[in-house]
Amino acid sequence: MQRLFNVLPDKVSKSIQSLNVNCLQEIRLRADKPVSVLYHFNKYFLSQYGVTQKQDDAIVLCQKQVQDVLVKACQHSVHTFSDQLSQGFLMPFGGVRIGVCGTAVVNDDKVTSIKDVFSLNIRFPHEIKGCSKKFAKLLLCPLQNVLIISPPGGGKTTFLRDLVLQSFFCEAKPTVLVSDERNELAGCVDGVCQFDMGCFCDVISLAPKHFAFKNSLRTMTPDVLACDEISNEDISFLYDLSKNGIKLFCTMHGQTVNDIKQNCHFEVINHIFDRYVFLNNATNAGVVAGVFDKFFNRLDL
Amino acid sequence: MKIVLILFVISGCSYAGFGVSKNFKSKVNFYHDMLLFCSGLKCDLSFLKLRLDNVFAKATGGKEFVFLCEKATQSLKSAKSQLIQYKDLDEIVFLNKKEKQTLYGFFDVLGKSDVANQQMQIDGYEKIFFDCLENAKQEYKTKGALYGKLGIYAGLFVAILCL
Repeated sequence: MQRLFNVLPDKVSKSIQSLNVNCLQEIRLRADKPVSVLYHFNKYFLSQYGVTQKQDDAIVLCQKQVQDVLVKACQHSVHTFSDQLSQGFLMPFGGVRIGVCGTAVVNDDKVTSIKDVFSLNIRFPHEIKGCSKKFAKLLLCPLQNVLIISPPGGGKTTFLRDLVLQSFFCEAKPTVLVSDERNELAGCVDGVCQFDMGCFCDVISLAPKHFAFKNSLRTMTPDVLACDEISNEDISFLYDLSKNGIKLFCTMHGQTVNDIKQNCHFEVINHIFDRYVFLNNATNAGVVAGVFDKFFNRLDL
Repeated sequence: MKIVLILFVISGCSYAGFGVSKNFKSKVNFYHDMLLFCSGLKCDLSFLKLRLDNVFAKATGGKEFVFLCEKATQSLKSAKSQLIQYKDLDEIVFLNKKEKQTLYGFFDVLGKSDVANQQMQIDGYEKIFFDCLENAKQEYKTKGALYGKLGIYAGLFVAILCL
């Protein structure tokens, strides 16, 4: 975390350090706008002395200061992060994701970078060990194909990370292959996972899911494949994988059962997954609102 | 006593002469290190897309080159906006003003663009460093030996004056 504090402007850094970092979920830096934070599920402005509701007391950064944060976060190695930047985000330190908004630089119909950075959203990862433990019986005994669903910021990644960890403690002790496309799940830094995901877990960071799974299926012989934020484009190859006798732990954006049912690929999704875990982000990350079976019957513990 | 003094003067002047001569040799070695670093850097950027801190961590070479790498590493650790400060280059005594500006420019462009553009920039600096190496070699050949001999002769001259 110290590396992140180093890249933030002094005023912001000092103020953040006065807060309880475990409750800090997001910092939003916008050019010529007050700095805001998502602190224990509530939005505040950031003043020099911590969080505040008063806009007038908030720290305001100019465009250059916002841009500087991005440059420093790249650690003078834009070449390392250029692929991520072209997708609008940056994962400079284990698990911390910086979303970037600005003017896209387009070359040959492809976004190659982002200039004139207007805003940054720095998201802090949280490790809540044991948040899926209660549901291990429903999800891991026996191993099921699990889809975790919540709106953005609902704790999908936190829950999935813990589910992988809990699978290590279950009787089957499956080998789990994690496709960590955005390096949020394992938060690898220089080849070392920053989060505990058990001893039987292999991680491929920053590779597209289909590449990671296709190439590692034979070489790593996993029992379970885990990946974050699947999209409709991923559904067909996940279907193929599920037919190979491999179990899947995945997450997806959504809020209600209807959101899933209205997905244009619902039939395939329903073929793949045996369990649906809906998360509730109102009070804390990774809090389960309900676990449902294939037919959307609520399962009780 | 006089003989001791004369020997002291001769050895002192010779030492100064060889000291100056050594600077020319160090300059040759320094540009050698820079060229090796550039070619290694291009591989690290294109193949592994390594971060600069990892590149600097494994860089080896002469005292002056290692000094620059250490300064750059410190800047990266403390998230400074410049890898090398211009005043850091003053520590390298054998560089002239133009060479310092070139080096400053080189470290200034590092890590600020994607792989393809970075390679083009490094290629450009590589050519400049190659020319600098050739000049340094030429200087060492002509002036290096000259200053060594000049030191001895100056010592002898002062010794004769003392006599």
